[in-house]
Amino acid sequence: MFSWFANPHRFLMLSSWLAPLFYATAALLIAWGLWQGLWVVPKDDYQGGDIMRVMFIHVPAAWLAMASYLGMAVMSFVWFIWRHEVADIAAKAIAPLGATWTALCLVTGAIWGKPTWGTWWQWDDARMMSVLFMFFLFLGYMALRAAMDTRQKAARAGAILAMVGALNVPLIKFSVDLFTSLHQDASVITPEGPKMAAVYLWPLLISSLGHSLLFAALVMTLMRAEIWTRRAAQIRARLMTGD
Amino acid sequence: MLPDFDSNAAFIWASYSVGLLLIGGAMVSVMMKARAAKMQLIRIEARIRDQKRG
Repeated sequence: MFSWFANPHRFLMLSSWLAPLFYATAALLIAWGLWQGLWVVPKDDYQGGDIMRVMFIHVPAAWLAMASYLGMAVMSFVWFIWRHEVADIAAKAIAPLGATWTALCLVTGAIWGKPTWGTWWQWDDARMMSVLFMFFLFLGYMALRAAMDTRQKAARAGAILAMVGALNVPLIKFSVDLFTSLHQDASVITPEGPKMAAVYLWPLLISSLGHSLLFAALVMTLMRAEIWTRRAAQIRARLMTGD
Repeated sequence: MLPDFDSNAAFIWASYSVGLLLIGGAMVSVMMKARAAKMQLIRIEARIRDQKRG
């Protein structure tokens, strides 16, 4: 299965229609989520009134930040074992976008924290620190790749960092259960099912799906750009050697 | 018509503005990168065609 997707030409064909489809669907879902989150759902006085509306951007960003890191680690693993070039291209494309959504999670979390907890940031909060660490892992991944003098070395060093750093993802998820945290316990993904009222849950899930599709579309666009760049570099190298 | 929020309205609008800025910025950056890569490939392929024609 990996080999089928590992063909850059096949990927370009597939993404030429899949990416626009994802962009369009994401726009609709995010717009619906925004409308619900800002205009429709009632404010929750138990959660501090209207400030809980930040949830419809903060939580999708948080989920996507973790999912994107896992995606980058899985793609790195695929490259590491099978040496499929498209997997390395995917991991490379996920990094800057994962960093963007992680930054969004951190900033919106700080903005939500100030009126709710009375502080923008808590240095001994395990959830906040593990997400901040993940943000630095994304930046470190990009810096490490950029520092290598060949594409092969960049892929190898990046893959090792991405795979080792994946240990941080379960730590983020379970940090609220294992350590003291200002964050509430999980209320959507729990063994007993979601504890959140349906009026908030559905806009949250739809918003998250919209963010995920937008993220996937952007990753595909960046991957297409990387494939074109590598192809241009190959042609240029061939021209230089006169083949 | 904008919704009427309680005293935390500034925090809510700030969150969504940051979202717009970061996601919008990422989209513009990705589109520009893809466009530049495509143009680069088109230019180099055109150069090869010119060379082949002599």
